[in-house]
Amino acid sequence: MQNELRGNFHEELDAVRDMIVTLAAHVTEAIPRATEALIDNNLEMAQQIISHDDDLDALSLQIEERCYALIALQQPMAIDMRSIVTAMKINGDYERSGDLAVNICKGLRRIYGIQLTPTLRGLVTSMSEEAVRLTKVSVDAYAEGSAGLASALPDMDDRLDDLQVDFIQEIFASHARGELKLEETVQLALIARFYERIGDHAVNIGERVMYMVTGVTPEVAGAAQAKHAAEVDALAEVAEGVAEEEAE
Amino acid sequence: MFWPFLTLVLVIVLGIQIFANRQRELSILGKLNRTLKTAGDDRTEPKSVDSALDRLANMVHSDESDEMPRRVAVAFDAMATGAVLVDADGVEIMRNAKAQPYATGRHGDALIENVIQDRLQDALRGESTDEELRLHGPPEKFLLVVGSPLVESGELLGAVVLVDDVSEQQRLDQVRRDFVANVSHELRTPVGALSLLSETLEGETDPQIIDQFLGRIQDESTRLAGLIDDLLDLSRIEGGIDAESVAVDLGAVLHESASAVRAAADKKQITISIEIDDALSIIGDRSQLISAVTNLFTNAIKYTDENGSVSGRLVAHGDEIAIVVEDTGIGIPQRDVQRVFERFYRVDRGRAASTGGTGLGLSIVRNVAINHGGRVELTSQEGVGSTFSMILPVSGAELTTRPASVQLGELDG
Repeated sequence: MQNELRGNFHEELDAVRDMIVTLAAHVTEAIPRATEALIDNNLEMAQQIISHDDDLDALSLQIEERCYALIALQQPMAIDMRSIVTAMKINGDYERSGDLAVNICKGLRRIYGIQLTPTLRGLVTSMSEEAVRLTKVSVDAYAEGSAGLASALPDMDDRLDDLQVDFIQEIFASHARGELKLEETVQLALIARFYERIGDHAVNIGERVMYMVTGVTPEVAGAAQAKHAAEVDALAEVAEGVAEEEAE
Repeated sequence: MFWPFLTLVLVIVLGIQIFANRQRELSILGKLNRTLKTAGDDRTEPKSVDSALDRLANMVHSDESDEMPRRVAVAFDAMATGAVLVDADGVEIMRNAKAQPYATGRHGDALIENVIQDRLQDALRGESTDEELRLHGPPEKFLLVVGSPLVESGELLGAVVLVDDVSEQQRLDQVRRDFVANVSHELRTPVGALSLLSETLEGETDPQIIDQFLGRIQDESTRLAGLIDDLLDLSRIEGGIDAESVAVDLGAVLHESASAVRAAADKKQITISIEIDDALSIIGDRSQLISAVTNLFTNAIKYTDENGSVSGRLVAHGDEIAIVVEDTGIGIPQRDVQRVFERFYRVDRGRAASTGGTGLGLSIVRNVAINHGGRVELTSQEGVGSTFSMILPVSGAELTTRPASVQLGELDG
């Protein structure tokens, strides 16, 4: 009876994992589509992505409810509990990443008709590719329970951050040359920020996966390190004081 | 599109029926056999019937009952179409090899599985539905997912979903559509301009306007002649007509091609540099190679802004030599990278009028590479530049002679 219950519980956990994989797959499709809509000035495609977000929100809600039910009915512990908490946390990250793809489309609506220069098109395509890559690696890390993959995400995100900086510099240079209006420049800067935020969500997911696998979040590890460093400093000060006293 | 699906559905229904019939026969034979065995304990006569039925049951069990579903399963797995079969309760009975990765897949595969499950639900409610799915990739994929209920004499036996990858079909359709649109555009533009200009000239007396219009007629005629020349070149190269197989110094080819475009480069203050470390030669057709490399340089200069740079170099790697032409131009969007070698394909048709050209240059490059047993590769990033590599085998190749009417999809994919 007990085994059967645990079996059902793990089937439920697998189902939650599959739902998150599906949610992430929707997001990884939405990002390049939003980019395509932006580059091609395709309002119809932008509207499709905006409308489709309701389905993503519904799926995210289902995942959340299923996680609550699992906690309430099964009272999980240890790694099982961490798996559910992780699922709930990263569910929010993926849902938010989907919203950011929608924001890119809404940004397009505000600057509709703008023709991006080849350099800006190249940079926005690269940002989009990096955002997709990060999102894919994050879901691979989650589905495989791989702390190794998860730990690679912050370094990968640096590339996206660099691209965002290049993009911002280029749009302000274009504005200075009179190629972009101020409103267009601001909207494009916001759009670059949306891609960058998608990368940040992937990094958050990686941290949650590391917590799921190891039981320690990087924040906790960081805090522990800081505490340890403070203790070492305090000891060093005491030792210094003792040495000075001895010298006197 | 409809008939293959119908056939497949019929095969599956037949498979299920054969399987069900065999099971029923076996069960009946088993029952009959047991009854006869019990009766046979008391009587001697029916024992021959008993053993005959035993033999029959064994035969059916060992051969046909095992073989038939196995054959259906193997046939199922061999299909290029993904197929998932469920019973009336929605329990999965069979999933062929093609559809297997979707079940545990991530990213695009997870979305395909999602659509499969939706179509199965519809099919179990008795509705036949289909959905076209586009996955951004890369590589970009187009899939057609069709769900059908399996009904026999009004009874729902289950449902089947078929997943067909129609990406290649979509791509070829797109190539055909674009080809027709592009070729009509390229041909009609100069012809239309000539007709309009000559019509306007009729009755015109102002010598200044006449001179101006005559100049434009001259330009349009030159453009049309250029298009016809390129078409003839392409046809000659495709057909391998007059192709020769001699030792060709690739360094000399690079220099000669660069000289041919230097005037155009100077006009835009574009620097052309040639980098050749060793004397490298291949067996091939010199004029074809010069034509191809000149086209690569012309293209690079055309799409590079003023004060940019274009470089040509030779890279030897194993049994191959690459003629590489790199520019600091506007670059090519990723989705067009595979398509720029198609005849008349334009990345930006609106820009074509200002850049000129016939839209056949890169198609000529690819055909020359193919004729020499080689290939072309392209890497590009918008705003950064493009690198075209024509990779040719050192030993050269028997210059291929191909029929002029080569399939569009074969050459322009």
